[in-house]
Amino acid sequence: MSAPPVRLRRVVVALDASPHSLAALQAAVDLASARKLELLALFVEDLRLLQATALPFAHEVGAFSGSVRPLDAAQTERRLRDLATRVEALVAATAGRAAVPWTFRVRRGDVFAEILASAEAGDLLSLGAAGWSPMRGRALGETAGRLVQGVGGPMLLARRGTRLRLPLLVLLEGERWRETLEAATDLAGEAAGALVLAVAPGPAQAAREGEARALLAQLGVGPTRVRLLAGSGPSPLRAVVRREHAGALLAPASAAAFRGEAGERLLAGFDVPVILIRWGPSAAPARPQAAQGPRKSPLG
Amino acid sequence: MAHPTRPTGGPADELKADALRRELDPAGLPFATTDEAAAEPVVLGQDRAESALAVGLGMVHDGFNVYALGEAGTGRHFVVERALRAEAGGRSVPDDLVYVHDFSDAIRPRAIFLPPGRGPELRRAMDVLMDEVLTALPAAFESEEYQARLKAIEDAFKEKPEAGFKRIQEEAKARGLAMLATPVGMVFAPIVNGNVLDSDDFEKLSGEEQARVRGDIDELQQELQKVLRAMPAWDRERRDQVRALDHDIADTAMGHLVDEVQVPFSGHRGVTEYLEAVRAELIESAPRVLKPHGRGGDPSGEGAPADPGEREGFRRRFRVNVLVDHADAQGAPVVTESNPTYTNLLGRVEYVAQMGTLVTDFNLIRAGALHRANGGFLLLDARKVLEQPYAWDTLKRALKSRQLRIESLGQSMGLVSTVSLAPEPAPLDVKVVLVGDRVLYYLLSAYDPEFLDLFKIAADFDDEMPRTPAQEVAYASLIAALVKGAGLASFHADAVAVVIEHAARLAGDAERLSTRTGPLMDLLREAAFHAGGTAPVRAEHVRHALEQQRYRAGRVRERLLDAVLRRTLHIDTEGARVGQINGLSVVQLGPSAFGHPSRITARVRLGRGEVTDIEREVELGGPLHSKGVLILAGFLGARYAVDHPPALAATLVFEQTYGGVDGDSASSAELYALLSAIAEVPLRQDLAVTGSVDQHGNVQAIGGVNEKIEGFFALCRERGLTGTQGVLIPAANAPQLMLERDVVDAVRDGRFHVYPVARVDDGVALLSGMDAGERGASGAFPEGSFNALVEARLQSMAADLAAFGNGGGRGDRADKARRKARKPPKGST
Repeated sequence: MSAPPVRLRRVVVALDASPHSLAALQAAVDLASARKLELLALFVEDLRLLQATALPFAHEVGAFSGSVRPLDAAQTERRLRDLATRVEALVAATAGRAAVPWTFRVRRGDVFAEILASAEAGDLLSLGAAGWSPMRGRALGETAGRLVQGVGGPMLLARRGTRLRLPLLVLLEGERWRETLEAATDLAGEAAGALVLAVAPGPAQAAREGEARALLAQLGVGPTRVRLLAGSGPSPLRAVVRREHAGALLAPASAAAFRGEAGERLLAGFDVPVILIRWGPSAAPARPQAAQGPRKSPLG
Repeated sequence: MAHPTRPTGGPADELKADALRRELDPAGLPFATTDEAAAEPVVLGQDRAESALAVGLGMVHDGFNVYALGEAGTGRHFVVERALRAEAGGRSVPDDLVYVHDFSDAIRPRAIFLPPGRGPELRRAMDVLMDEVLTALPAAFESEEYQARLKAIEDAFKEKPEAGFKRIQEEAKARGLAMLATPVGMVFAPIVNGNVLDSDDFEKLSGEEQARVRGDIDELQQELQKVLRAMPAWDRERRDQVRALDHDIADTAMGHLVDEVQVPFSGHRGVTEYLEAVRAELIESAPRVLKPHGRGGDPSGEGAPADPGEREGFRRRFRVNVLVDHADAQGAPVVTESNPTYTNLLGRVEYVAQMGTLVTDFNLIRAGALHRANGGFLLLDARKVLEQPYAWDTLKRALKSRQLRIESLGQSMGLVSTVSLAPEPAPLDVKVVLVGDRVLYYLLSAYDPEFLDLFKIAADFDDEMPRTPAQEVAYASLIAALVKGAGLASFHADAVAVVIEHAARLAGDAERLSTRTGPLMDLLREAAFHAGGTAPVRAEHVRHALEQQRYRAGRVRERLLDAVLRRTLHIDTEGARVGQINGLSVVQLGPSAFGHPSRITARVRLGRGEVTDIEREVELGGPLHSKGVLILAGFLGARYAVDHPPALAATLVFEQTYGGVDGDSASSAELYALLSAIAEVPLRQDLAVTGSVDQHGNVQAIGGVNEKIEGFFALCRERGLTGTQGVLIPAANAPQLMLERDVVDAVRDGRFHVYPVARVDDGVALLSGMDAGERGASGAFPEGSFNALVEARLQSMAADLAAFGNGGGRGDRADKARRKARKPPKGST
């Protein structure tokens, strides 16, 4: 059932200059540096915002003060330009420090669609758990939420104050756990020994541990700690991350822990960056409205 | 007081050898060696000072501080310390003094007085408390109870804005609007089929539709505004609730610990208040400092956890700085500060270097001597206090205000305005005893208006005491105590007798004893040294030590003597000369003094009655010397030139002196020289003279009589005693004689003579070998007497002057009259 593996080729980071997105930039640069990958930094000027502020009665409610003030399209254009300049300088500085080859691209359009359009097979998509939201990171941003639910390659979610480090906790859940494990070993590369496996509960939980060890041995990965999760909700997962002092979590996007409102809150507020492996949620994935069709090439 | 055994001879009868030195018979002493004497140190002759001390130390009123004045070595320190100890022993031990942090005003540490020994107890209790707080509190913040209660608060407050936003978002969706986020805010826009309506499409809407959209947007904007504006209040409310929870947990975890410290100090108001402040401060600030990192912290990043430096700083604030601890004290403290600098007296605030800056806190407050002596006595050396910049002013200010205010010199002078500590002033109740010399006492009395108000009691230490047989015995006990106190080998009674004789010599008076035990102590030590460790130390050892002292101090004396012997300095010790006499002076060099003869000469000529003191003319003579010369001129005029104007001009000089001359002790010698020059009668050069005269021709007492006699004796002995040599001294000085044994021996053998002289005429008779002559019934001096010659010469000069004034020269008649009156002296050369 699994497709032939596609090697990780590039890291794409979507930036809007929000604190979370800057954490995503740092995680992307760290990953690209570790795996010798290229970096594509993408800044999307939200077309909806430009259209909205073009309306004669457009007003903005200040996120901090709550004051209502008029806003026009010219002002919005100027702001977006300024942001793009700032973001580019940050990308140059961050990637430059790590000697990661980078490209910066500004797109105008629907944010979700533009991100999807920029990502190709072999890309890892990195973005902040939320954008410029008054919720202050307590819930997953709109774009991130849609991308998590969508299909595509691996995706990294970072929130303000987190950094990507080892060990990598791998959640083995569902029928496609082998692909998840292979994706993790691929991602970890030479540091594959620094994996911790968390096996989701289920009737075959104990057996799966043995199988996972066998598979790792087959892949040439050294001894690895394995934890058997007591439950499938957010709490056991959060607990094991803490206990293992994990520096990142790799899990299928479809994992039970991420479902529902509690799941979304977990993703939005996780203590470490989360790498999600995505498959289509169902047999007939919804095609996003975008200039180009999304790449349906799950990693591994 | 005249000694009962002293012989009283006639005016010119020489003194017997026994009258020249009052020796002490060792057999009269109460012990054979000092080992047999009591070791209890005694002080003699200081009754006045001791009674003053008793009053000064006993009175508790302000200003009754004591200044103990007197010469060094008179036992001031010993007497004062003994009196202080006796007084202090009967008083209660004062309180301990501690400084603690004032949590409401960090730069003004609070002073707390505690019963003796309780200061360190409070410090230990607080150290234990903080050890326990530092372990108990982090554990309390790790507890499940705290975490659960904290999460409940956080969750409750997260939900409020989330629910608000969600509601607005749903409302917007329902009305066909999108809520778009910008970096600085939110924008609402109408949406059709998932796309934002652009302005052209909006224009195409019906007026009613447009109004509805705008109304909806306005409404939602206001709704959003409400939610956003409520957020800071919610946030504040959340922080308040977290803080209240922290306080509750801290109180639960530590309250009983503070109570435990409280129990043993329950009756003490200062400590109770302090501990209440400690409790409040611990509850307020401990959670911020001691909450474990990364747990239960404020999600907004406020109240960041403390670093180790802050933790240590937190702990320091709860320490107790014990400045004065009387735990092991008996009675009131007696403190001696040997280096009374400003800070050593008043205390100071120290600083430590931290990251290149100097910082301080109440733990670095250090006590001064006044703190340690508070409630007791402080003994200081007056001169040292005055020598230290600002120490005197500081001491006076503290005594006057009865407060101890620790501040740096810069602060007290208003030169520094940086923020530093200003510790709470402590009440001061101390009695200060200054020990100093008399000059300082009188200078301070004269020039410092506050001095006498603050030091009302002067304990005046005498430097000599009467010498009676009973006092000699007591003095022997003192010496025995000194010997024992210094740990010296025992002294034989004969050695002690010599020491007592030396004490009389130090007093410069056979009937007095010096109370200056300092020089005696030096003598005892040196004598023991010369004894070479053998006991008991004998008289010869003491004498040897005295000789050594004299020899060591004798370089200048020997040089002078040598200069005389080599005739560099001209002093005759034989024969007779007109207008020339040997005067005697005392040279004081540091602690030692010696006598030395000086040749005094007088010349006369016709003039208008002026006696010129050459010393004064060249400003080498002091005022007392000039006074003596004017007095003798007064005597001369009154006695010999009553009925005619003085027609004399005379010059008087100390020959071959190159330094200053002062004192009137040579005025009798000068008078003799002058009379000799007028009468043209030679005076004996084998005699030397000392004594001052008054205007009636009485010879008066002078100082340093012993040294003067010994000075002339030394010269005569070097040249070979002729048997006629001697010294004329004022009769009034005779009881004071305490001469060296070699002089006494020479007198006893008739090889040297000491003549007590009461009147000038007695001296004239001795020096000239002539009868001085007294005016008879006719009012005239007997013919052929010395005084007749003087008078005749003066009359002849007056006549000469009158003749000279009338245009004539010296008349033959006058010349003849003068020659007639003159009669060659006996034995003149």
